[in-house]
Amino acid sequence: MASDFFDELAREMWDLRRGSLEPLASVSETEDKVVVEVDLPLVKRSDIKLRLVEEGLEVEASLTRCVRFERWGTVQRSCEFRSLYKIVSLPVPVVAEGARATFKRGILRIELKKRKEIDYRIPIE
Amino acid sequence: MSGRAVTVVEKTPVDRCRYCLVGVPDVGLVGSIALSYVVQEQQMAEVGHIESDAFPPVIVVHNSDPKPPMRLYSKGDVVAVVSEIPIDPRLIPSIARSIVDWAWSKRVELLIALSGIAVQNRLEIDVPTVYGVGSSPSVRELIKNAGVEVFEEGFIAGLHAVVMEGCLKKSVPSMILLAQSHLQYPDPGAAASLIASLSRLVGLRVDTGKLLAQADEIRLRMRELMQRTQQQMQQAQKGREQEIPPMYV
Repeated sequence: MASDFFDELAREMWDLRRGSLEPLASVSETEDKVVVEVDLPLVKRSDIKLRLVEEGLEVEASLTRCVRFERWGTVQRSCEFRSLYKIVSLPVPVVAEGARATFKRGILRIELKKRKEIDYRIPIE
Repeated sequence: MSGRAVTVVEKTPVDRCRYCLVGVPDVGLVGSIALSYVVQEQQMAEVGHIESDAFPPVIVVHNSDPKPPMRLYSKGDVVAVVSEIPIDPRLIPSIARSIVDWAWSKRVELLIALSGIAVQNRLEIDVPTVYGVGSSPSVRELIKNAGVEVFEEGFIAGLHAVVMEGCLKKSVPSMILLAQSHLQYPDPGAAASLIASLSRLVGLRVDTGKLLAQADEIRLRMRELMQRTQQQMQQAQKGREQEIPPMYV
């Protein structure tokens, strides 16, 4: 148990250089879609940027005000964060076309269509 | 098994405990958020902690004061049991037993465990409903009189479930309050609903205005605890709660 615990502690959910916090996200699948949900408190709809990148779905959103965590972390007295940032890894390849996103009560929900298997046969000479 | 022995330690002797409230990290962190807010708003005093050799080697430092992560707070005849770390599912039976034995020894009149019940349509719900599970007909009467919906059918998994089981064995009157909530995002709105029900049951006066005003900050601040709790919940058969129990179907 102790070693699991330290593994978890070691995983950081913030990035000091970027000044960003990592939001909570969850991924689920239906037959033809991948559904990504991201918890984005203190964010305006117009400030959310979504991009499909090689590693997954990149979510970036500036916070409506900087968040200062007093006595935050182990040694820092305080630190200010300006945005939420995360690349959500996806379980299967998806296509950008036909993607839908909604934002309600600070929760972003994105539906992405799965990429259909391309049945490309390589001819043997 | 002695390595998993769990003890409730009173730093300041508790001579009166009519209501024992329990809220640890679980679904949407609802019980934790609700009870920490009550402890803070009621300015309850720290009176003890729960210890075990099996706990992770961690202390929490608040205002330069080191503390164990599972603590007891008290004010008047109310005692609150809170935890700042997720509970390892393997320790749930020992922790539940220690809490129930302690409550029994204090002749607690009502033990109330606070948690959430995940609902898929949480985004459509303005004010989450609170459901109550009572250990006896008279406790269920209390639930109804407080305007809380009686939980009729289903599985409940987690520390609160095992605490209820222990209370049934020892005949300690007990209740589980479950607010409709997000499963894996901290849910201050659901915590506010729990506090409203708790206020009516225990006669506390807690204004949830500040909690709701700070909801976004709380959601940001609780991300890491939610993430770790999520990992523990997966081991604790939380998925069961979405199933229909087979008896009487």
